[in-house]
Amino acid sequence: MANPDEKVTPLDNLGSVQRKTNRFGSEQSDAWLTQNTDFSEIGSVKKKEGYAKRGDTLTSTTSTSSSTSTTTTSTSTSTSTSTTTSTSTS
Amino acid sequence: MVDILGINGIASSAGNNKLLAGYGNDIVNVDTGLGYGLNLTSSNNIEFANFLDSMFMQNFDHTPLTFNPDTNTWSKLHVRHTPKSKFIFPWNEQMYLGHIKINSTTYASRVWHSNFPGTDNKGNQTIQWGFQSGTNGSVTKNTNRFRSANSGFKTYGITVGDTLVIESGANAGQYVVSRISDDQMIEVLGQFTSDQSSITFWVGSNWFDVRTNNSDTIQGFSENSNNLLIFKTDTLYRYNRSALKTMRGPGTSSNRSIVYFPNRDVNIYFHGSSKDRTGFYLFSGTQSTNISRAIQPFIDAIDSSNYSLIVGWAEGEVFRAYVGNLTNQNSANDAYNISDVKVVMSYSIPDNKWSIDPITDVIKAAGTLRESGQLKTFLGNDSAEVFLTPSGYSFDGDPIKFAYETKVIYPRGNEVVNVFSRLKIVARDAGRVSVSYKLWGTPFDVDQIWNGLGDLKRDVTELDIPLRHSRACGIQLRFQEYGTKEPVPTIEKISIYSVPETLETPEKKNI
Repeated sequence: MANPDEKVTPLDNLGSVQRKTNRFGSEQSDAWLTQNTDFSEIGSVKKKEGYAKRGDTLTSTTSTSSSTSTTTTSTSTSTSTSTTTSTSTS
Repeated sequence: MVDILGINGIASSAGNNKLLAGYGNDIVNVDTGLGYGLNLTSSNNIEFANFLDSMFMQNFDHTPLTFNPDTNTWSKLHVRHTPKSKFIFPWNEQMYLGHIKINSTTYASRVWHSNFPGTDNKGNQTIQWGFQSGTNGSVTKNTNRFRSANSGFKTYGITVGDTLVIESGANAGQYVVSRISDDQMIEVLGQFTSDQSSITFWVGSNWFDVRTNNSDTIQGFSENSNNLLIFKTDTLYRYNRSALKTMRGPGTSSNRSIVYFPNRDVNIYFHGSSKDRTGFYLFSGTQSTNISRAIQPFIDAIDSSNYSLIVGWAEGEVFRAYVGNLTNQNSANDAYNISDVKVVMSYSIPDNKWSIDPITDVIKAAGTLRESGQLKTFLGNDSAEVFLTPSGYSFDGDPIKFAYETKVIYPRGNEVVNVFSRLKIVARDAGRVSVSYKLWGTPFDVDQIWNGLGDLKRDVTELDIPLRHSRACGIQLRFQEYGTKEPVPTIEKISIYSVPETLETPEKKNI
């Protein structure tokens, strides 16, 4: 049989960090800390997406043999590739 | 460690997309890893801007250049005879430069702008800057003629009324141009007092100073309601071609923190200075308002050496800013102490909600590229890597630290000691989420550590709170998960069950 003195305290509108007020001045929905959370669904708290690398880690070093047109690119594997890029410094 | 010095994407009218990043002494195609052999003369940050189907670059040191995505080449198209600058921004069909350098002189409060686009002698659209500078000027005593070989005074838009500045020597000073004789010679009002050659000079009029150099220097640009916003460190200005107006609110300490949200016509940025002013601000057209008071303890925990390094970007209608490490550990109650590394602060504009998000990279730059019909956001770190965000369920393979801590819940106020019996949690895809709790007011102390309760398992999970540690006025709950996989957990509702231990207050009980 249910205890008549039992109380249920529901949190059904999960909010975000709020430390502007002290602990007694906050709203029911306020949170103490949220990390990597997404609040796009109203009332819920969801884990945020991450990020993914685009391309390889940049390892090439570049140098020009002159101040004009040809660019030589050395990659991390020490192979040399002539690219079609050009640089005008005039 | 090699910083990404800047990132920008460009999608040409012809459909050529390129994502470029400043790296080392070059600018590199992120997708091919190939550089363009620019041999940049400085490791300064590189700022990019797109205009006239070209990508413009400035790094305050190297000769300004533009990139043509259709020919995959860098050149001086559109930027022959242009001041160097720290900041660059296209606004209302003109390009604006801020915090400029001419010859070797820095004008930290000066803005220089291009003319409106016109056509070159081949019929192609281009811009002139109404600017010429050099070190080969010469004048003859008691004449008003100023000569400079190969200058192009006419070609590059110098006009009557422009200012000629001779930086040093017997004729040093400002003169007003009265006639453009030809590309190599102009005339001024008045006469020169001495013969002088090898003169360091500049001439032009497409500039204005944003107040004076009173240690408050230009830090960047943005736009709002069809106005140009000019940020200095402590002040903010709105410019509409006819008037420069000071706005209420501070400027920014970090150009890269400024993000414009066109759908809402608001700008969000960081200002770091004194404690009472430091924080994130939202500019809505007439004034800036501090929007980060809710997370002030975290703002206070930002290392002031990072105030100038904060990088912001947009993910939909969420403003995000990398702020570095947080340290604020002055409380005897560990709950009030803050310590975290590599933190992003995220602000959801429609919900007015903040999240404090530790990540695994030091972010140095952010940029966008329109690709496949989507505007994508990219981040650059301090290790020569570029990331697409948001994307996937990890930080490039590293687990994402998800945590949600409720505030302290006092079911019957802080005067009544409760016996907390159980929790009921409604959640989705939350099988890896662990739950722990702290008791507050037991009756006089606060738990210093989190006490584990178990993991969420099903759509509804019930967790019993051990009787041996269940008596307190308040309870605080923590949900956390570290993972790299989807589905991501969603917590929808938390119910806390309790009964009063006594109707007496803790103070009465203690008598």
